[in-house]
Amino acid sequence: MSLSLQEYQNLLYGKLTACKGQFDAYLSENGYKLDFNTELNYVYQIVMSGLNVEYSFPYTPVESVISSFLKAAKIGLSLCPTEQLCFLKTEYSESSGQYVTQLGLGYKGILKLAYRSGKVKQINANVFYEKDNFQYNGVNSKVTHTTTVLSKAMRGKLAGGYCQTELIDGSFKTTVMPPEEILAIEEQGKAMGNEAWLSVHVDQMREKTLIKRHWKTLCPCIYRDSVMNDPMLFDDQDCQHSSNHQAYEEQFESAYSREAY
Amino acid sequence: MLSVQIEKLIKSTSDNIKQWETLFNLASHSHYSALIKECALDDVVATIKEMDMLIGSLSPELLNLVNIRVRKHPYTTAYCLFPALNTDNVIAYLETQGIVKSYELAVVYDNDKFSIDVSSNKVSHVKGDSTQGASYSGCYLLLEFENGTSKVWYMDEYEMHSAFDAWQNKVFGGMDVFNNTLEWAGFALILRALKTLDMQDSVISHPVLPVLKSRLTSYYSDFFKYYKEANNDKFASCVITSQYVSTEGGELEEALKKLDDIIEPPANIIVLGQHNRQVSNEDTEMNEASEDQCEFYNLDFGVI
Repeated sequence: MSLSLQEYQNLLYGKLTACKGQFDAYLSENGYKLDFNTELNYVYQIVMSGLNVEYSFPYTPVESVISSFLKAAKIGLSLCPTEQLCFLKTEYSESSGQYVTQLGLGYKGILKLAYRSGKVKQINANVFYEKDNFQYNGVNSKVTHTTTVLSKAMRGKLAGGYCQTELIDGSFKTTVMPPEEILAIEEQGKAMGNEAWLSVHVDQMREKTLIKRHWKTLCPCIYRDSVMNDPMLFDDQDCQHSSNHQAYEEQFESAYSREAY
Repeated sequence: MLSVQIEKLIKSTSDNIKQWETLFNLASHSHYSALIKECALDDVVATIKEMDMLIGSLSPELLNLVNIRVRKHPYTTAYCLFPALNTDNVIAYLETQGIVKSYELAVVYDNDKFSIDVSSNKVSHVKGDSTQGASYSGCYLLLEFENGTSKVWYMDEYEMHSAFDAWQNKVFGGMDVFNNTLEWAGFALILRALKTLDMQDSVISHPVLPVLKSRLTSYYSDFFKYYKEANNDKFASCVITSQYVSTEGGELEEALKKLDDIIEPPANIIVLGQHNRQVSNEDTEMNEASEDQCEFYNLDFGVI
């Protein structure tokens, strides 16, 4: 189906305005505060910024754009580009045989959802190095991680990372990632030309990755039986590596658990 | 003592006269005060208007969060004003709002006794002999919140150098805008902290802070990006398609890089599904990185 630019703009705008009722219903259902027109403007601009960009939003079904727009309303996160809470992305859908628009959660969005739940006291994501004092105490315990120097040159090679959440009830949820997995993701980022992975601030990137991984464990703990458990809000691809994760985690546990010392 | 010219400018430009007079008065007592007079009047007006729009519209008192400093325009070498976020004042504000209980900002030198419990956000730092001229290995900002939690943001010396270099050369035109390393470290660390500060439980419900944080990060990010990208020789990096580019990040940049090689479809025609393609298994496995790519594209203010 071919549309002129004007026809596409009309189609997109018409479909977006038509879902105001549903948008407002989601907000009032959950008590979130988002302005429909502002959010419509964001999503419209984002979609149109993909004009003439291969595989970008205008070339995906409009329904998938609308669905993502409503999903953001459902979880009460703004699509404001400067806030970087959540964003639109395109992915190839095997089932439909075409690229579709999907909603992705940013690390800031994850932190916001986590703290907004009222069940989280604090979230910490860090990487650790060979010469740091690190001990993994299990998924339901706080890790031990200290160092006497800040300089990475003095801390040895990257040895892994963790993201831990202290819940209001005093319990902990901890996710760990071994260096191989962090570096594998890093290599992919570099290969795609992301300069931030090549900068000296790379640990910040790694920490964001850890937060995103941790969300898969944390979300079901703090948002039982709610919209947050929509599988679309998880990185689906990540789940395909679950067997690898299992192996990595076992390897990690044997290397850094108390018994290993 | 304020110059008559500046005084007149403030009165004709802003409604927040008292706050601006205080800011310029403070600046006029600093060692770079003579350079303020060298700044173009248009630049002074622009700075006042920008900051009024950014902070003054929330509360004029928030103008105290910045110090007026002088930088050199990296292209024209003309002296311009730079509203530098003052760490002490930002934290003092957070204290008055019942968010932060106490804080510690320090540069760590090689002869200091230092230990950080990263998993608990606790720092033990005993300064060594300052007369020995030791080099520094990093810096940290520790905030203790009223709700009993604490959070430490830190940088090693490479990050400090890199961030300093980026701002010093690309934004400040080589001028020493900050008086010393600690002051610079405070600026860099408060920017880093601001990125996620509004995620703290106590900040989420605050009437001003989430908006203030959002405006401040946007302001400094745009400021940095403007000079950084204009300094970059790469065509693709210089093209700013829209402010929404960051939502797509790397994919869009990649597309820009390929611009010359791609036979463009007519700009006024959109063919739904036109860009479909068969994807291999490898394509489905790269998404964790590509998602990171989307989100982490920007080096924000050079301190991430």
